[in-house]
Amino acid sequence: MSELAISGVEKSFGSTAVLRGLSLDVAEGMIAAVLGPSGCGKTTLLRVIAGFEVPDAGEIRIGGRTVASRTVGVPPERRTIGFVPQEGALFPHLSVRGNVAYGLGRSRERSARVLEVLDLVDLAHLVERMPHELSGGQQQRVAVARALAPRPALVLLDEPFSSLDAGLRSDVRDVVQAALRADGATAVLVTHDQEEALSTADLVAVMQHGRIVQAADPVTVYRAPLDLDVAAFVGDVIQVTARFSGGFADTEVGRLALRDPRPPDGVGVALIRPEQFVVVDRNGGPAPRTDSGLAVPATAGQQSFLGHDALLSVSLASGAVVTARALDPGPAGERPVWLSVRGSVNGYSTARGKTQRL
Amino acid sequence: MALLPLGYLIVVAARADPAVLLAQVVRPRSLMLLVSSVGLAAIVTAISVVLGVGAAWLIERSSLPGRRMWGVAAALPLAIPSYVAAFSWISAVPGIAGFPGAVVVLSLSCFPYVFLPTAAALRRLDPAMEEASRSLGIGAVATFWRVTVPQLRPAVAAGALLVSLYTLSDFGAVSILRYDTFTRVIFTSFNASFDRTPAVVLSGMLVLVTAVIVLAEARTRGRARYARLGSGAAREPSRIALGRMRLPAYGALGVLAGASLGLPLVTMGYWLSIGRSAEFDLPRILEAIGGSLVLAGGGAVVTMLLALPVGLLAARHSGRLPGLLERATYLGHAVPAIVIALSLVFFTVRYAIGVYLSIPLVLFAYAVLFLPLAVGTVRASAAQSPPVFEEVARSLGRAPRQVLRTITLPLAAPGIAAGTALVFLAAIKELTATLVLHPTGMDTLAIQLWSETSTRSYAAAAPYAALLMLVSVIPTYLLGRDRRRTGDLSSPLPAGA
Repeated sequence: MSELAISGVEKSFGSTAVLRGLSLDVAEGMIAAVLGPSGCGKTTLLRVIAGFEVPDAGEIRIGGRTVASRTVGVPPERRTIGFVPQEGALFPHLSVRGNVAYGLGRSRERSARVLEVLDLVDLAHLVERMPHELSGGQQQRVAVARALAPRPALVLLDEPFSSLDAGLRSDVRDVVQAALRADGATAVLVTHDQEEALSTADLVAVMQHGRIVQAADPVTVYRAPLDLDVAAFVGDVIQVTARFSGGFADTEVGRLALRDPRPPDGVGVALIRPEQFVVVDRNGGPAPRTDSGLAVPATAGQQSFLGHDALLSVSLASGAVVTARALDPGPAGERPVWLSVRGSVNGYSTARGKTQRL
Repeated sequence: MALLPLGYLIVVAARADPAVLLAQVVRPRSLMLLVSSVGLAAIVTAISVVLGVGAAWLIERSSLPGRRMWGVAAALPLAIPSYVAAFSWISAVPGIAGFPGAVVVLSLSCFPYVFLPTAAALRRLDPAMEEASRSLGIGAVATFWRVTVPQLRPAVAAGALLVSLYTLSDFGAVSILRYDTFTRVIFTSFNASFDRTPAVVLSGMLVLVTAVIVLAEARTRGRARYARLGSGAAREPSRIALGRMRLPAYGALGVLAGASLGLPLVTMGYWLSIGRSAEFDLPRILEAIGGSLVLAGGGAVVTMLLALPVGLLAARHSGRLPGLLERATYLGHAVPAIVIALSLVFFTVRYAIGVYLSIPLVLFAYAVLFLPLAVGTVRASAAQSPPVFEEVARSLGRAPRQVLRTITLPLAAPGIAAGTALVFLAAIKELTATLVLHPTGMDTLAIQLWSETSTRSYAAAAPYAALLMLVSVIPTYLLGRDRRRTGDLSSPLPAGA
């Protein structure tokens, strides 16, 4: 049984339709990431689930109970949710203890639970601090502990890590992820950062124009995006024109094996991730044999060095330019190379006017 | 509730014989009053604009040393009740009574209304704009007129509006200086006879005049469109070296500060030293202090209790009803205190004789007068806690009422306390409504000062004036220290209108 079930939810502000028949199911204990560009309605979705906004149509069920529909409208305080807003929003007049205990009743185990959830985020030693005495990352973790404390059926996180700087971000993310898992919480987080979504979530739901266009595990979303838009949003892609036949795509860069779901035979676009390209120096010998048949001659050009790896522009014989990700970009300047593709690729029958990303 | 007094005024006017009303309006005396009141307002406004803009420019844009000190000195006259200033002038220069005195005293009391927003606008002005103009080949003086002045216009206009409204509604200064304007004549005709028609007619005319001014200002503002002034220019604007003009500039500011601050202090010191043993009636002074504390304290609490729901509503919901409610409370701001007091008198005499001239009636009048001030602070302090706090609290299982108690109110508490203090200060300086409505036998500092000055017992009035200066200037200075920086005029309110 799914913990969160959203079906056909619509929400407009004035004449602007923000959610257009959005549906999403999240199973119990899962961490789902709603991934979408800024302004696609992610935050509105979260607020509708939390009950801060009333949907115009559709139904939302949390733990099997209908909380929003045409006839039902459960107020936020009775939805058993935990909400972690963007910057944490700790109550400035309460200590860490006061914040975390805020949602707990007057039960005896209250103070034990406070320490328990603070322990989950490694902050039990700061229980008497005031919010302004905490760093940004600590505030964010306390906000998560506060949301977890009343054992909500569902935890909602709004861009929880975007206000933290890059170094801190992954640490906090790991702690929060561990805390959510340790508590067995079902969680929905919204983000525009694909790396964050892919690394944190069990389920990545890609949102575009007020709808979920694909919801699947991170590997599937990355390896088998439903369409070119999704593909481009979850990572860099190179599109090359292709002719599909018998499970292969014949392209300028070789004969590439197609993944499921295979496109129908005919003309279309093959989608290659930059890290799939293999670039080796070309100095007079015959073309090496590779996964994609014989490697094709090309010219390596401009490099952009990223530290852990580098992006390398490679010009093909036709004049088209593709971007390859390489651990070692080799010497700067133009030089002749052999280009081939590792692994299988996705094929799409139509390109829908998208151009190649470099 | 805020509308009640005004509504009643309209009812009374409507019920009277139209012919009688008309006869009252076109009486030569009424028309003369119109000329004298509007004329005074116009002249005071013009002088205030000159003084305010001049001081703002000298302090913000010239190389004059001691800018901070001058800034404080130019803002402080606002805190001194105009009737205290009037007392010090007439007791020092008895010949000033009448029109000249009214012009001098009110201009010196009101010019900070223009100075504060203009100085703030000058500070916010992006120097890059002036530099762009200079780089396009426009000289310094031409740049000032073509770039700087247009940017200042909204600030100056807002200040001028406040000055003219204040002058029209001022009662204390003109009555002490014995210059007949609407407010003074309304009061005397109300005091002198039982026929309420003249007072009502004059009140109606006064309200109409203020309404015309407010509407006219709103219209001119509606047509002009000014881009929002850039938020906090990063760089200090270049200051213009005064050179040989330095001494005159110093002199001008010195005279201004001397006349608006120094003279009241000196006269007060003089009368205090003269009248020490003979005329000080300590029990009466203590009684007046007690009366002031009771009325101002009660008024502050009542006003704040009424302001809380309106302010919280206005801060959280932008719907039409809260907006309307909030605007209704601002009516008390635009309607002169004498009119509000009078309409309360008429209303209670007819429908609630039990509270006529009672403490609750005074408190109610304070609430009507100072609700805008209180609503403003509640609203601003509620805005201190963004809605996300309340949403988080709701998501943690707390019902709206609990959220209000545990989150919204605690976060707004410091602001609410400051607002209560502001209302208290405004109420302790309030003269007009207190004078009309106070229970017989109960005295306050303002009433004592007014009645002693009216009988020209200046030495006896001095201790009250000194006490009022004390409660006016010191807290205003403390409260206003950072407010001054933003040029926020919402508080403290004009003293003792």
